[in-house]
Amino acid sequence: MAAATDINPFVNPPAGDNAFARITDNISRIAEVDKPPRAWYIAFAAALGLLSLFLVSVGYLFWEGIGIYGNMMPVAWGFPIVNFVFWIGIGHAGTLISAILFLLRQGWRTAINRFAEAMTIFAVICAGIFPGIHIGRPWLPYYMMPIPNQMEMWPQFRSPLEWDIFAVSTYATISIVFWYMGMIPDFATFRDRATTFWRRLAYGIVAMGWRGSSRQWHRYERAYLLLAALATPLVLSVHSVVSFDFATSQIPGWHTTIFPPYFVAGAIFGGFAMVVTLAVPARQFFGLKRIITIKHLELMNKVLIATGLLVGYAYGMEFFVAWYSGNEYEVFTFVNRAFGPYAWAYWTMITCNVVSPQLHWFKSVRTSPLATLLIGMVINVGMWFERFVIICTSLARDFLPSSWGYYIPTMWDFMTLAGSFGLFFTLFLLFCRYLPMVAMAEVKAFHPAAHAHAEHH
Amino acid sequence: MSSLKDRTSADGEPSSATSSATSSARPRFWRSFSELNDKPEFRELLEREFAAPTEALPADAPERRNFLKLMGASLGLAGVGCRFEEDKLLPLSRRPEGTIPGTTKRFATVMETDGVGVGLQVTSYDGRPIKVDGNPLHPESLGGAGAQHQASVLELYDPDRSDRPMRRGGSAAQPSSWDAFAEFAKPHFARLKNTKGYGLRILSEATSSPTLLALKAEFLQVFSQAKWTTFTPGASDSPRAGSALAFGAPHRAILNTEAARVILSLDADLFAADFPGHLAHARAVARGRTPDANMSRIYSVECGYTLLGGFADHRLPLRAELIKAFVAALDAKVSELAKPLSELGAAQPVPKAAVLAEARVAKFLDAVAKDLVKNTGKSLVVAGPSQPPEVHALAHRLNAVLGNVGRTVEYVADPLAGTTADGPALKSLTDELTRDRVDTLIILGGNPAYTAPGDIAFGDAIARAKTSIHLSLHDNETSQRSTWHINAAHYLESWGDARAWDGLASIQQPLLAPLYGGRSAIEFLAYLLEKSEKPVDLVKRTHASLLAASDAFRRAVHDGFIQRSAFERIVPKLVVLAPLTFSERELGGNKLQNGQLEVTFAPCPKVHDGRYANNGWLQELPAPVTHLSWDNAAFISPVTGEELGIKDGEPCTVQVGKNSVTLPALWMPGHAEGSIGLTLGYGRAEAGQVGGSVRADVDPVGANVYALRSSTSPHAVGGGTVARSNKAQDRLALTTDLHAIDAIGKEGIEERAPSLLREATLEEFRKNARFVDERVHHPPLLNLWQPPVSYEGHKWGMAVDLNKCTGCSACVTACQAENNIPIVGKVNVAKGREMLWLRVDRYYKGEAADAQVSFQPIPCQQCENAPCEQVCPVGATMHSNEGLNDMVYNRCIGTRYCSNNCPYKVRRFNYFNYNVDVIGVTPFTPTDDPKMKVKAMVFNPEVTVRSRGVMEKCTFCVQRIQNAKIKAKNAKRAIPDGEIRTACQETCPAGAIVFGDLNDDSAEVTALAQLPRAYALLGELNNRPRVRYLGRVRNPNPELA
Amino acid sequence: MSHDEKTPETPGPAALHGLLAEYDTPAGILAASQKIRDAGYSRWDTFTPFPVHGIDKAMGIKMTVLPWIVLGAGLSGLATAIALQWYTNTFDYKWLISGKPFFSIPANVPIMFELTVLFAGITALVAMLVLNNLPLPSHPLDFVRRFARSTDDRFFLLIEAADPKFDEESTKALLEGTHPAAVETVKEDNVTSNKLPKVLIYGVVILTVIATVPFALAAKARHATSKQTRIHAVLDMDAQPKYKAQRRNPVYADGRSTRLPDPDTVAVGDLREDSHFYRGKMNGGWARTFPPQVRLEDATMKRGQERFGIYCQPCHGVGGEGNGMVAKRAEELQQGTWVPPTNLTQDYLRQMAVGELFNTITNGIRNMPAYGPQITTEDRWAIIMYLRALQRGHASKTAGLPPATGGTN
Repeated sequence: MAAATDINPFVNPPAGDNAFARITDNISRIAEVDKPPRAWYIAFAAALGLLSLFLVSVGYLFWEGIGIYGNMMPVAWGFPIVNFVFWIGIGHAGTLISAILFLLRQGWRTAINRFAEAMTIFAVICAGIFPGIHIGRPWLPYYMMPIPNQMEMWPQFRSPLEWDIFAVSTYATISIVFWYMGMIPDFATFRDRATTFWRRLAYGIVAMGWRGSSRQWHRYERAYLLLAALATPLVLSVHSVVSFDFATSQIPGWHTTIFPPYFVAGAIFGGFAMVVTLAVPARQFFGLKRIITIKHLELMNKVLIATGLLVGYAYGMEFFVAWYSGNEYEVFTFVNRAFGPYAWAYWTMITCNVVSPQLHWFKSVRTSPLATLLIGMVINVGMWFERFVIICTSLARDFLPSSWGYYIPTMWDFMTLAGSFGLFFTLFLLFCRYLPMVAMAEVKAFHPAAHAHAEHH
Repeated sequence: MSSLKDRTSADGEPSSATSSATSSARPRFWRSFSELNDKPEFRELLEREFAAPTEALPADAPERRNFLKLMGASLGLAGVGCRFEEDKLLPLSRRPEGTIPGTTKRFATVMETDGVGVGLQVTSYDGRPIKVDGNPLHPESLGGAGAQHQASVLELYDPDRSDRPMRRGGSAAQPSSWDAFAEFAKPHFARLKNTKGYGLRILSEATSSPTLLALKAEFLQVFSQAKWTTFTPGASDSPRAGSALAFGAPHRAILNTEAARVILSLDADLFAADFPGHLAHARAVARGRTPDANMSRIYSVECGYTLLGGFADHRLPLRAELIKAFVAALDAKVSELAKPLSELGAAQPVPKAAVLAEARVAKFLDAVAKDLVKNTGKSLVVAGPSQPPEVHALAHRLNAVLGNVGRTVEYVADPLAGTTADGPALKSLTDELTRDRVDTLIILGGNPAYTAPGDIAFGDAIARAKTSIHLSLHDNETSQRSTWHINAAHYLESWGDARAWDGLASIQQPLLAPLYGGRSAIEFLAYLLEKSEKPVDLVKRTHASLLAASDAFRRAVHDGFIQRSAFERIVPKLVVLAPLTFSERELGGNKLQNGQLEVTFAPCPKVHDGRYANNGWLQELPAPVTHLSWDNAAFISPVTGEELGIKDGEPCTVQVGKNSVTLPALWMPGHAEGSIGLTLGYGRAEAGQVGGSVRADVDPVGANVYALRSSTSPHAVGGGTVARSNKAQDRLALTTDLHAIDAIGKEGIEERAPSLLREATLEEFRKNARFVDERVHHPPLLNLWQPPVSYEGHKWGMAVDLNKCTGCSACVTACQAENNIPIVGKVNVAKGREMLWLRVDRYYKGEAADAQVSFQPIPCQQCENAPCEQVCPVGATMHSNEGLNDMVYNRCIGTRYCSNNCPYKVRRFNYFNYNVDVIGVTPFTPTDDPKMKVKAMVFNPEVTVRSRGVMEKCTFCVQRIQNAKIKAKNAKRAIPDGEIRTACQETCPAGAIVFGDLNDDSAEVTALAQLPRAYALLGELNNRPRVRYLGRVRNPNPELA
Repeated sequence: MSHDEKTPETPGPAALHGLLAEYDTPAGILAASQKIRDAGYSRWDTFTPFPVHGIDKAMGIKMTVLPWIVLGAGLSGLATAIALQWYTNTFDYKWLISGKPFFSIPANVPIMFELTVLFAGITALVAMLVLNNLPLPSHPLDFVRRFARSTDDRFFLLIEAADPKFDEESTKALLEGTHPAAVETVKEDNVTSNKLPKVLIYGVVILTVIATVPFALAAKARHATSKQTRIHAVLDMDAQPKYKAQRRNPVYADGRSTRLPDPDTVAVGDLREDSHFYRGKMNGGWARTFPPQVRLEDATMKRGQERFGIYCQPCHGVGGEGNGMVAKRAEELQQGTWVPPTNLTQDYLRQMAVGELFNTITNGIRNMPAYGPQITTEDRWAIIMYLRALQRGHASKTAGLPPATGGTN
């Protein structure tokens, strides 16, 4: 190859000095440096540790059976489904930020949309695992796919779980498509900056020979717009469908029409909380302070206040409707939630989800990265408890007192939960290391320098 | 060779050469596997499909080693591994007439417990017993069966049963054999014969078996110096002593509960498993509960909560010791009202008991007295076995005064007069042992080393006998202290007989060859007496007088009993009772004095005196009323609990004298104040893998309370104390209120209970027959759509009469037996993972001190709009066009969504592979434990054995429905109502459950479902359940209302 | 990418591909584009690191058809969803679920929506790539050094030599008139071979081969026959510990799960007290009459004929003369030990009491096995009744019936 270098134009491209070049440089360098910051290594080691925990617990689960978890009758769904709904919720902010804010022409999204999308995909992967492993016979989930077979056995399309299968897999696919498409021009940049053969090859392949021709840009923007337009209702639909798992059932506390909007609000709430939780350290360690500014954090915190209030409203509404319905079972379920054996979980949820975001009314709080990070984490905890409260308290005491119970998770439940975070962070850290963390092309497009001329004409 | 020729020759056909040959070959049918040894031809014998059964198998001594080899061989042939198991068909080369492979036959037999035989019908599949039910013709059963009878088939296949004699020199135990025993026994008993059996003692439990009693008499003739002692820990001497007090000689009361309009129970649980004739009483009393003009009224004065107490219209909780004063006062009152004939003597003076002064008691007593007198000749007073003889005597007197004798109560002379159930006899035997007066001790059955009261150190005394021989199903506590353990045959494996309470002689015919080559008590005694007769001939001979006709015996075997063999009913003359004397405690008040509690002992409704401790079905069965499984507890009134600071479900230490036992306390609403109820039969040291075993390092189930029992007052003792204990204890395996219910929960239950279990008094019912509709108000139930099918053809449904359900839970075990329901063990039950398809819900009403209880059996409701179906993503549960909510195990992937969405929570999930021991851990590591192959024989071949990760639930016994449909189709006929009976319905002693085709207007279930008091549980959800409950109607006494 | 497969030796002189102008700012490229557009060039393009606002207009790019393709895909997704759910749950396998109608749109809406989005979304990406003629491994511009910054901060404009209006001088002049940072000629790429790189080909071939292996194995397994049972890693409920009819039970020496009852036991309903009916005996001797349960009527006779055909005919023959197929075959084979079946129409059998005949069928005789276990009691009597009829048929040739056989009622 040495001989090739003299005619190879890609070695040491002339460095730019203008605003665009700075952006390119800033972001590309993260993926180009030989050694990432030490923090990255520490975080990655920790993540791998948790991941191995995950593999161990799931392995044991497959060997022994679902009985190693705390699930019982009447609470046949425990941690696994709580985690599923939790992760799916996290998985909403990404596509929402990319799609809806894109449609709303919110320029500031460009700073965060890329890793928000990444986060989405990894969260959905974590979510997708749980329903698969929690079933009694985890070697048979393909029974839920419409695969032609000699027994003429088909899935039962009236089941919300079946809807889940389609909703979640569609959501995962579309998110990946959206994410990848956004990265094509940035891959091209990486390719053109590549200094080694393998980097060039790898990024060259994924960039598919993108050269930024305006005729290509034209179709690209069309397609991107369409995807955004498709993804927006999709985001709303996914968590609505997940909420159908509960809303279409008959159990007091589940059988509620408010669930779809309530779940979507909750998902956006939790999703944004996770974004800020990730954004703060990311800008810290990868020197993106100039790209992900305090302004961005503040905007997201405002979104947290709004969605937090939505969620709080939903909590209140549930009680009102229960009381207004005059259905003794419904009323009991909610009184029991707040003051029964699970009161501790309920009030944890309220504190984390309704009270803590209110701190963001103070500008000092919502502009402080540390406070943003902490509150973001608190909200994540709260959102996990929201799902726990909905699933476990409703099941633990339904119609017939004779079958009432109390769900107690086992150590394996906790191991699997912790492990899923391991999986999530492993993937996320790999993303930070090797992929364009910020959508360079888009940032440039929204950079003042890109618009200066528009006024000229 | 086939038994065909034998049958025909038995029928008197000139027997040919072949038949004589077979008659010598016949015993070979009765080889058990443990009598094998591995001849080289054995392996190929296994493969030769058409070899005659067990042909060419020498009858040598059992050798476990060989047995294991055999198992290895057969498993090798089975070809297990990661491939489908290859299974060969092995038909009989010649089968007896009328036996069709894969079909079931029923055999009448009898199961004796504590000297009372209950007639049963056992279902046999291809010659293997798989299910036990009541014998409809037998007066003791009337078709019903209890949980213990149901579970006896599991006991038969219990892998922990001892499979060979054991010899114990000092402490070392060597597996031995029948031949070795014969070697020892021949000279030994020859010597004893010469000394007329000097120093020979026999200890047995009470038995009514005429054959055994005949052998006993003969034995005591041959060994005239020998002494025969009886000890029956699960029974009581009070009734005998009481009747002796009342009539001068011991008698048995034969209760005709059906004729009684007013029943007063004095701590007598007519429905308890240990009450003679409880099955028949359940049926009879339930019949009287149809809410109409002559609906019966039941009063129960009792200490702990009994089934009858739950059934009663009025219940007065009193400490057991106070009942004596109550009944004395009642006698006074009744005699005053009824003016008895002079020869009955004067009534008892009203004792100066504080309790009688209490308004509640006085009012109750007054009302009861009036009601009894009003129903002279139609009333019944019955005293419980735990009550002292005086109470029994007064009960007899009251019945006489009320003119009930010959109407609601009849008498027969006590056939077991002279024998004792309680301690005294055992005590004297123990003294003899300790004074080395005993050379040879034979213990027939039982487990006295464990069941002996605390003040009799029988266990240690056994060692003092030079030779001690224990005949028993298990190598248990007593066996381990004896020099010889002899493995006994199960009642389903041997010929025998027993008498019902009223004396009806019943025949016990074997259903299977002795699995482990054991011998019944009859066979063993016959063996000691060197009789050559076959057991069946012994039985035949015993009843020869009654069975003159040529095939009368066949008829008796067929029916299960001998016609007109019951004892003659007599009217004994009442002797005038002297005024009773009362101890200070007996005159006490209801409130407990100076922390001195009364401690009562009762045999467990599940494991009885401990004999069924190794029976997983019974251990797992939620005990009636308490709903406690896998444990025993100290039952205590919440009031007393509060006073003494004893917390519900937390450990406490009960002390009587210097003996104390620590066990969990359980608050029982309606339990008498100041009294602690203890359950016998737990804490077995050597029961087996299920009930606990020191050898196998398995913790015992529950705590052993025999230590607190005394031989003098075995049923209730005063002066006990209870204190909190901080001994570590794992959570109680309760199936209801698994976790103590908080205030909010309690409110919730009180609010919804009336609409779930709908009750009314007879008055309300008269006013408004449709009272059930008043309990819930909901908008009209309309469908959004037309149902896609209109259930023509069959439309299966069920009706459960809450007025008849006694809560005895026999149905639960019947369901478990019929449907191969796994045992999950204490830990999983405590987690709320019990698998029982059918459960009996229990509701308390009123305040803790004096709560009413009601029961409601909950099977799958088979909803037409089943909520479980629409949520299953793979269609593993869907609807049949006969309206059954089918469960497709093979399709189920175990999302458990269906269970979440079931309002009745009747679905059960296999969280683990609960059959792992019989299947093997993985396909690559199948079980190689031969005993597990025996265990697997209990499975009903008609029902899939579920594996890990699938959901299951009540199917309305779909296998029975299908079989009946096939039969009917082949015979080109319709299915008559009553031909299909679900397992629960079949066993229910009270006849509370009725199943049938709702499209059949003549069907009983249709009629019941249309009764005004029929309602659908949670019908307001518009699930359209196929189960209808008949609202419960109580018949309270207006004076007490 | 193409340049990886470059060969070191320098290629011959390459043809001109076009002229490339570089600009520093979006404004510059916009202005230039308008010029070029107005100059009427058709084969030219601009390259920018990000979509420059307004360039479409400046270059006169027409609206793409992509949205219509996506719409079509979405609709096909919708159709698929409806068809799938209708076919599976309503047509191919009717579910009776919670008493709901077999087909109802509301329950199908979620999946209809999801598939619509799925199809449309994937199509959006694919269509974009295809319309943009991607992936495009190699391009002459790749050899222009400065062009590397087209994805960084510079803006380029290329006019291809293939353009009809293209003339090296004038075009160059035109470009220089647009104040570019630089203008440069672009040579055709005659370095990159047009053939696919070998590595790629081999890679694809090898992968394809590997991918087919499992299918090949499956196919083989489907057609080959084997003595062994199927491989079956997870037994689930196929391993049933219960003992079905006539199965092996290693517990017993003979390996049978079927056990014989004790000969003295009597199952419910097996009392068989009626000696006449069950054993063909009346007060000690053989019954000469049919038991009352067996009525002489067409149905019985037909049943008898049917059963006779099944159980007796093979040996005794249609007419009962002892010339059944089995007998014939045996005689052909000259079996030494063969005892020929009796001719049932012989006199002594006509005389024989029905009871004795019944007993013979029940328990067998000589080498005739016992049929008791196989033929129900009623049927055995029916067979005898039919046999009597056969015998009469034969007898009627030789007139005069033995009085004993008259009493068939």
